[in-house]
Amino acid sequence: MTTINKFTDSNLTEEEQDAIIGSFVRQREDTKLKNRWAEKLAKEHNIRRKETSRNNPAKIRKLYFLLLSAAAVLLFLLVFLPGLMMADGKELLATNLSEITLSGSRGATATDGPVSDEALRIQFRDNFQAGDFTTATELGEQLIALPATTDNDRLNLGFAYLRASQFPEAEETFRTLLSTNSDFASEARYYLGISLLAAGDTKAGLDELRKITAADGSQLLESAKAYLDADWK
Amino acid sequence: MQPVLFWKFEEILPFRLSGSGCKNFGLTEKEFTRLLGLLAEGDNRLFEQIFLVHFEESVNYLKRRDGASLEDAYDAVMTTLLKFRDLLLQGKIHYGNLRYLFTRMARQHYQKNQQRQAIFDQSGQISPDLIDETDQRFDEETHELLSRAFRSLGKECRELLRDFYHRRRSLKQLAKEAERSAPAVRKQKSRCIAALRDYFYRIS
Repeated sequence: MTTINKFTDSNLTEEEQDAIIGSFVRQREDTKLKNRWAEKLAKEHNIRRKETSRNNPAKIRKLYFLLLSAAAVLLFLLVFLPGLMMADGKELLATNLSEITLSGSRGATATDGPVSDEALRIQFRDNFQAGDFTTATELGEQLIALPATTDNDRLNLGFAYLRASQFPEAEETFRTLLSTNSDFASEARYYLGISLLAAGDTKAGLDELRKITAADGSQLLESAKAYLDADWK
Repeated sequence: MQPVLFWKFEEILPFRLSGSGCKNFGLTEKEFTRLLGLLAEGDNRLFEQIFLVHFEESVNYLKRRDGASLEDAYDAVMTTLLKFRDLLLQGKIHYGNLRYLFTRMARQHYQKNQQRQAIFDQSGQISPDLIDETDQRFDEETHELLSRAFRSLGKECRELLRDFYHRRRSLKQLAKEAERSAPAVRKQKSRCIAALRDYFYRIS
């Protein structure tokens, strides 16, 4: 009998049930620990599972050249293309949502807090970067419950909610940041607009984005304009 | 006032290089007890600090002693670390000669991975069940379904199941911390499992 069949069997005893769930939970958590330790070993002890290969410097230079060329073309397209054609709002949103990355620390930082905060931040970042946004939101929730939490943690939790498609939670998180007169008010305003758009409330989302001004930074203003100029029909 | 929450790691390091400290990765018996307490609380940092320092040494030992490749030795030591943590939580490892035990376990894991059994004959002091695989293995599909079901649970349920299965905490301990009765926590665990199974059933 396969595990699927066994697990859905109504006659499963408590011991059998414990064996299956226990194995699963341990393997799940062990995988997280293993990844964390592998990263620590690589970063702090310079121990990696594979020897780092010594590549030919000439090949590396060629690769850099190709990468730089590709980046230049991409930059050109990103800068000029939006001005040449009207973007589809929903497409723009979908693309931008999938590209949200974590914010670095600004204002109050984690360095003064207990080490557990930092450990949790590392786990949060690891899971986010690994694409496990649901776990990242769980860790982010724990992090913002700690006394030494920062506004940056809350902002990043909002990003995790967005990536996990938990738009109401994202909206609430950014609204909280806005209400606390945070250093991240500009970002919070912008991403509140994004959360509303993603949740399907186009009017409210665009209204929030209209509030972004030059004082919020040229990058945010340009991004907000792209949404405001897009076709939302 | 800054709350004092954590063990001061610098009190343990640098490692003692002789006597029982050397045999036990620099830990005194009192510190070992403290390590167990922290692990039970879900705090792995002291464990990491002690054992990650010795990771390379163990890898090199396997390479030297058994002619293991870097990858094979790395995998064996990593598996040993995970198993060692779990055995500590289960109270199956006692203070005495942790370094010897760890090294032997790493060798056994390596040998097991290589599907060789020769070393078992030489390890009279170590119970073979220390490296025996008791956990079930899941195929990719089942693991994915279980992961989805687990993620669908509420935060409290996920934490309770982690505490019980991964941190090996008893229902009695969990009940004491939550200031609830053990039967109430048992009931909560049953409800969490029922929810997990129900969701699993619906998506499978």
